[in-house]
Amino acid sequence: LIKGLPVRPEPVVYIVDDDGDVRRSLRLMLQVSGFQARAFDGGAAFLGEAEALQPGIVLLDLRMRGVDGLEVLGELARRGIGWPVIVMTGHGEPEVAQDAIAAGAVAFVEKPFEEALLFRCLEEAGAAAR
Amino acid sequence: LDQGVQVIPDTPLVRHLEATQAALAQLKAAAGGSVAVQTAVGALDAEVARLGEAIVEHESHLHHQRELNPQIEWIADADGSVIAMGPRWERLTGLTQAQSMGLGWRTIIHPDDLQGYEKAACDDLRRKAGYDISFRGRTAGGEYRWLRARAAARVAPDGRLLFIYGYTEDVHDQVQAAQALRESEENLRFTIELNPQLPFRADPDGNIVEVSTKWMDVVGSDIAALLGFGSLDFVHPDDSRRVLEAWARAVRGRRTYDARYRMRVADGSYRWFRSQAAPRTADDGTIIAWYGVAEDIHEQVQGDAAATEAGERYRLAARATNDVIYDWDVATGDIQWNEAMALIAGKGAGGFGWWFERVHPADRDRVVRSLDRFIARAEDDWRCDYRFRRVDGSWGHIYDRAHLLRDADGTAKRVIGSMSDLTERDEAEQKVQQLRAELIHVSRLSAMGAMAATLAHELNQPLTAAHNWLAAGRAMVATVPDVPAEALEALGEGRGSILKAGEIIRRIRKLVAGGAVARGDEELADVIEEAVALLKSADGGEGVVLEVEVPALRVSVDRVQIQQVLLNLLRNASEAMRLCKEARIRVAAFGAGDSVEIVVSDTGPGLEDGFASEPFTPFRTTKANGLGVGLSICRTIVEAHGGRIWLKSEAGRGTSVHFTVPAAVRSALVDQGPARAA
Repeated sequence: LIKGLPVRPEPVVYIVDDDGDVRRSLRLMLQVSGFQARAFDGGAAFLGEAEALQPGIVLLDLRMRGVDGLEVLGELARRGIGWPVIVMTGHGEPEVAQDAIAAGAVAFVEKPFEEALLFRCLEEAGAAAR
Repeated sequence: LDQGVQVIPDTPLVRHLEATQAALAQLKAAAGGSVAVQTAVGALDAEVARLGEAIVEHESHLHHQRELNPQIEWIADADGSVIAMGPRWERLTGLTQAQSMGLGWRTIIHPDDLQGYEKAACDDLRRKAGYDISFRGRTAGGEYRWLRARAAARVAPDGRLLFIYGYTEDVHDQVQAAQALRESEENLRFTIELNPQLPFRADPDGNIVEVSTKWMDVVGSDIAALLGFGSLDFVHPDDSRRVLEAWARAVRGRRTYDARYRMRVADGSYRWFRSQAAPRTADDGTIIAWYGVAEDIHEQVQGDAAATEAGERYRLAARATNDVIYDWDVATGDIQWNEAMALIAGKGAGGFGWWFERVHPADRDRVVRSLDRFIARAEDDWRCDYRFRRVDGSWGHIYDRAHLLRDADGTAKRVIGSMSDLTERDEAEQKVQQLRAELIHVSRLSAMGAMAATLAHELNQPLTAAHNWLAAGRAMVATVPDVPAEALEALGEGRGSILKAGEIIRRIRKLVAGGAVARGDEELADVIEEAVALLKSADGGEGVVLEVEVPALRVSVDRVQIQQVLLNLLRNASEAMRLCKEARIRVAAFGAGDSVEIVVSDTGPGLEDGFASEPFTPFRTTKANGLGVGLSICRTIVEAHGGRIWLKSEAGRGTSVHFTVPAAVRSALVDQGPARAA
């Protein structure tokens, strides 16, 4: 952790995105903003470890190669993992977002997003989780 | 022959009687007074008187008999010279007794018959036999009539010819009748031989008892084989039962018999025959016999069959085309129409005037000019299209084609033609055109949408990253003391610019996406059928077998957009199989809860593993000329419908693309409307 940056008590944020730049930049931004963040390079990687992780907030990209965001949502529900999920979309199609909400996501953000919007979503999700 | 008048015939016997009476009278005068002599003379006188009566009586009988007898008796001596001739001879021939004596009578014999008569008569008489000769003889009126002379010879005990006794009679009428009979018999014979009919006769029970000998030639068998019920053996097995039943029915019911059947003829082939028979009944109504004829009607039947077939074929063809077929008699203006005219113009189709009245007024001049040119010139074919008033009052677009038949002198006689109502075809064509235009529009929009979506995604990812990097950097820089406020501001501005770029991309996306999906309740099978029609109209799918197995399912889709998806998938499939021997596309669908899954599968070579894993990524393609947006567009459209699209491919086994669309009964969740997090 970089000295001088705030440390937030919120639960861990699990970033799931197959785009390396987005994944790494997002993790850094969250970390410097006081979040605990872990990144996974796809749905499969995340689902493979999910049960071993401590409860947290999932920041999930919808369109990914292999196991995509909607499938991750479905699988989490199937496994009874009720962590809040915020979906990210680079397309902004409302229908897809609706599907994500229907599948259990608590919110969605369109890329690129202001960090303040993301933080607010994370705080709300964290509050809901608590 | 005078009735009531006693005619004493002048015969030798009568003359002798008269001489005796005269001698007796002299004897009486010379007898004198002798009582004995006078008594004897008196007795003699009485006897002569009785004798005279008897002679006269006898001769009268004879005379009458002769007069009544048509035969003229004559007597000739051994040389053939006539010595006595019956009295009717003179009346028949006009020759007197004197003229007829000796060989005089022969002058009446027809020159052509004289030699034959003499020869026959001489030959027979030399043999001491009688003769019987017919010859033509000149009668009193000058005409020749047939006479018949029969003679018998009277021969002495020593074999010497004494006299010839004969009769001559007029047999003209008999000869004529016989000749007529012979002629008619001959005619009959010719008639029967030349006639194709084969007569037969059957007894009252129906057994054939006699058949014409001509049957032998026809069936190549002897007559005996045909008698009784033998002829049935020659009838075709398929017909024999029917023939037997018909014959039995006729015989039992005493009705005429008429049957057509195939019969085996001499060369072993079967030919069609018609057999007819009728009973001949006696006065008391009992049947004496059945008379019948059979006739070879093979050519006729074949001709009838050919004509019937041709007629039937014409009728079916005329019905199948839906075209109006007509036959216009140019001289009278009468037109014969087929049934199709009733469908277009209602019942009661008439002649030329009737037709012309229904041609659109604006087209009449042109049609008439065209027809005039057609009829006047040597051209035999006419093509014209015009509007024609239909029974419902609407104007049909008619394409009229006709052929002209001319007389030997070139005058137009009949026009045979067909009127095709192209209205429905036009409408169908227009519909396909419209669908295609819509699709092209949507396709462009979809392509732009897909590209915009791709751009958005591809640009948004690095923009997001850039924004995050800047945000993280700014947060870190902010903790460092003595950093100029301008530096933090600059990082903040950079972040803002990136967000603006994102906003611009989002706006472009919305613009080209054309707003929301215009969904409606559609019957899936119809949607698919139109897509297939579009594929075919675009010359796609040639040589490909298309199997569509879609149950009745209602879906909530933007019809045109989903057709775009289907058309893309069908085109891909058909292009993938261009080099395949067995090219088959199968379109199937089934309901799965709230959605309907549609599968388009082909029998193509399948996809390479590299492509199969990310087929929906834009600008990736397996096609030489492809842009790589087809499947991407499909994905965009399907996802805009809230559906999913995926692909299964096996090398060498083909590819199947699956996608889902919402069923028409939508879930409550979707109906709740957008639920976006703030």
